[in-house]
Amino acid sequence: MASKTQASRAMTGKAVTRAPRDTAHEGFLNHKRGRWAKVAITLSVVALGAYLLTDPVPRHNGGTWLGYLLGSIGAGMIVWLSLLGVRKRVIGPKPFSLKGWTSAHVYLGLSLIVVGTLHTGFQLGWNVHTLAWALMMIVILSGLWGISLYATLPERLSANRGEVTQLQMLEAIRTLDRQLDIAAQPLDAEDAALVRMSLEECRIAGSLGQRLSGNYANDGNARALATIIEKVMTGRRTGRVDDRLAQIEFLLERKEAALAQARRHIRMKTQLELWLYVHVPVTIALLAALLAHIISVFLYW
Amino acid sequence: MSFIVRQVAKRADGGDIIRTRTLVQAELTVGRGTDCDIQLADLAVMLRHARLVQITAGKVSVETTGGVPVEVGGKFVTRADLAVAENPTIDIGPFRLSLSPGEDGAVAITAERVVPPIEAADAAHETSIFSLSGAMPTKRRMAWVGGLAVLVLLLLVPLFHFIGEGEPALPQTMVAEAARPVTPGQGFGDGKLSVPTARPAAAGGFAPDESWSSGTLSDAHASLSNNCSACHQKAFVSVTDGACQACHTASALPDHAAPARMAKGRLPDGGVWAPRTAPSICRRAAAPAATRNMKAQPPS
Repeated sequence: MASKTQASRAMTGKAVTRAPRDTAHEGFLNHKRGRWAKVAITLSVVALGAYLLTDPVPRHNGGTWLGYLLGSIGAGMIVWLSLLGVRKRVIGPKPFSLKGWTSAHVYLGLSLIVVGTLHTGFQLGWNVHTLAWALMMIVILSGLWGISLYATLPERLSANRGEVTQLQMLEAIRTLDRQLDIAAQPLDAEDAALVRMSLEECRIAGSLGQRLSGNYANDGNARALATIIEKVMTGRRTGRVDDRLAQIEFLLERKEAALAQARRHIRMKTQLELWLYVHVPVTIALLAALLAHIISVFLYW
Repeated sequence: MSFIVRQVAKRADGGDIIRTRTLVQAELTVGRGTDCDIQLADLAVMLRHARLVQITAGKVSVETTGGVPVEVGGKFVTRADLAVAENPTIDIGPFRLSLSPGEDGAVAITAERVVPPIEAADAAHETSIFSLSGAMPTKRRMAWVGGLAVLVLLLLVPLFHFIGEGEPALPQTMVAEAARPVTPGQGFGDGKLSVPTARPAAAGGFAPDESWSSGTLSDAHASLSNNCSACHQKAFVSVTDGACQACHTASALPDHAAPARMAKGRLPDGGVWAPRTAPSICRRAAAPAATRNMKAQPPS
């Protein structure tokens, strides 16, 4: 094999040959033409078939041979799936690519809905066993939510930011702040206070609720702008427009536009991140509940 | 009528780069635009911010052209006349223009950034503004809290309850009920031994290991619902018949079910592969009990 490569190098006359590589991007969802999707579907169909074709007495539950089998497979899968967090931090050549691992994580994780639920035998209640099942479902559904966001949001994210980086968005707002500061110097105290409201009581991101809803109506800049617009409008009606105030209005409007762009960016990034704030901590809680489930079941056999 | 412009730029290692140009003209434009004579690269400076005009020798006027005032001697102005001999300064955004008399009646202008760019400060805030770390506790902390809560409340607390529990005390009424003498040969279905329909509450309140119970107990055993070790006597050992027989003594309940059902469930004398006549013998033997049952409980 090595001599063959050397021979082909000699033929092309290139000192360095590039590793063969697909030019088209293949994401983790259709990695190797959906190899892991097929594995997951097979697993689910076999599990469902075994569940439907057996008739244990008194009924399906976690303690039949099928229940133990599904439980063992499910517990093993849960531990392996949670190891994605470890795998992605280990950088270097590995027999399994991170993309392949992620693909398997997604599809096997989805098949866990079938395996885990059949393991319960649909016997659910207020206990540690059902807690483990519920946490598992929360983890899987939050992962599904995350993938659907990853499929749609990045395009909108990049459309919103254009060619601008995050730092440049902040820079634009800071710049307008400086210009506002300068432009506000000749104003009287009352108008200067409005500008200070925009400078000092303006939070770009704010709380989680604000980040998600995008409602910043009570933010310093929005309040200052509303008041200044009213003042300028009054001036226009009476025919005495204060040019300095009009300049402030212009700057506040530009700042509001810059804030709106940054906040759209923040809103989408929040959505892209929030599912992981469910997915990851609940996974850890699930591992704890799984341990409690297994120990308690065999302790009180 | 000329200007000597010295533009000072900071090098990354802290040194200064000074570029000096002599412009033989009576008027200078100052701004962010590249076509300005003095270019001040900062967004706080307007594209064409101001104009410097040498009115007479030693006297320069500054006039804003971008609508944003400049700071001269601590005041924001749109127009000012300056005497070069007094070494006046003009602040535009983060820059300062220092004027001084130069050679041959020229006006020397040093342009220097006096307010450092705030990029560094923003970079520190960038993460907290654009990522959720500014609005939420970290994932790691939430994972610790959630995981430990589950471990402590649903594993350790029930476990310590189990370990600390001594010999299980069986409810007196239940034991008495189970030990009630029943005529030999009688069992469920004769109307005398009935399954209770009311659920008695277990005495003693909630026990932590109830969270391990996979479901409710039957009404007859409901009094044991907070008393797991009444049946689960040894850890990691399946419930044994001995646990049942602690209450269901042989004298109290000889058979688990009605005699007819017991007979039906027994292996025929000849074994599983015996001819079909074998079960009929058993059924005949159990017939009196079966008819008695039917009389006691007519089919509804």
